[in-house]
Amino acid sequence: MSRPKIKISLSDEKLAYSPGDVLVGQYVIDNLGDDKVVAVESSVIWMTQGKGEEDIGVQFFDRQKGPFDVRQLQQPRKFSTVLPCSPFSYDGMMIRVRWAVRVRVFFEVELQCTEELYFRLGNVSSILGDLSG
Amino acid sequence: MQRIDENPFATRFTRPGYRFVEPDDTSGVESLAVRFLRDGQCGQIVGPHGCGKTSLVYAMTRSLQTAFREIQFLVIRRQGWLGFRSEKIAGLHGSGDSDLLVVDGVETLSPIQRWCLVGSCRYRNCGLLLTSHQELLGVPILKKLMPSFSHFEQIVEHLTRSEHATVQSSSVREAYDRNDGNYREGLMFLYDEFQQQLLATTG
Repeated sequence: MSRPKIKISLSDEKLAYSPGDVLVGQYVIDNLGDDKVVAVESSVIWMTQGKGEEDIGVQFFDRQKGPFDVRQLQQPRKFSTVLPCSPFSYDGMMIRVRWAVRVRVFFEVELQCTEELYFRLGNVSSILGDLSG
Repeated sequence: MQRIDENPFATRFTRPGYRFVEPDDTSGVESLAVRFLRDGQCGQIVGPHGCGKTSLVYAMTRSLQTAFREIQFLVIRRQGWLGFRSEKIAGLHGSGDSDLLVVDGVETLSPIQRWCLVGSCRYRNCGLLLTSHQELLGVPILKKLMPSFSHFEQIVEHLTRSEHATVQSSSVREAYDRNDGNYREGLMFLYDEFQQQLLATTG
């Protein structure tokens, strides 16, 4: 099976946002081969990553069920959501908080394909600066 | 050059069920699953802390999915007799014919609880797959896992290859030796080391 290509892009091409900003973007799915796509999911999520239990929160979710025409999937699909006040992106030693746009393509056979585009929300260092001083 | 932005030792890549790297000496997950089905659908994986028992069991259940109607996982943490209720021993309410109950950490149960667990599954004709630090009498041993440095190296190589990261071989040795062959702790040691580098490079 050929590996599908999922290309996610954000309309303003920046990768750092503030709470309340509107995140607008689109994705294109290409190189699908003969496998039948049964569903396509797009989401805007935050997740924790680190050495302990990991958590996930969903800010935006959209699932479109097939069957799809290949050409239909190659057309850009748009999404938009208003970003919340928290959690801010954070890179720590024990834990990271990351925001991402995630697109998942589900096939008739069990395989699924996922692509993530990370972006940042807020600026933790500015808050820490305010607190310390 | 591709920028490394992921720690390959984070839980998302090392948690049981994400990926199982077979040691060179295993006869293969598939053949273990076949043996389990052939030998009365009852068996145990034995080995010390953090040597990959749970990861192996998760890998096996992927191969066993078609043979059972439902697979239920029961992870046992340390708890007293009162904390472990009889319906849990019975393999949760829904278990019965054509089901498989996977019990992780069975050594924390008392001998009576273990006996009830095995007996209940036999009575219900429910498959039983266990992980344990010590051998449990009356349950066939499917695999005894023993940690080895070469297997730990294989796991590290696998994780770093898929995340396009590199780690010094001296760090891998130190991670293994410092943690007495406990893979889980060894990977956490490497997580810390890698994360320091990551934070230093990303500022």
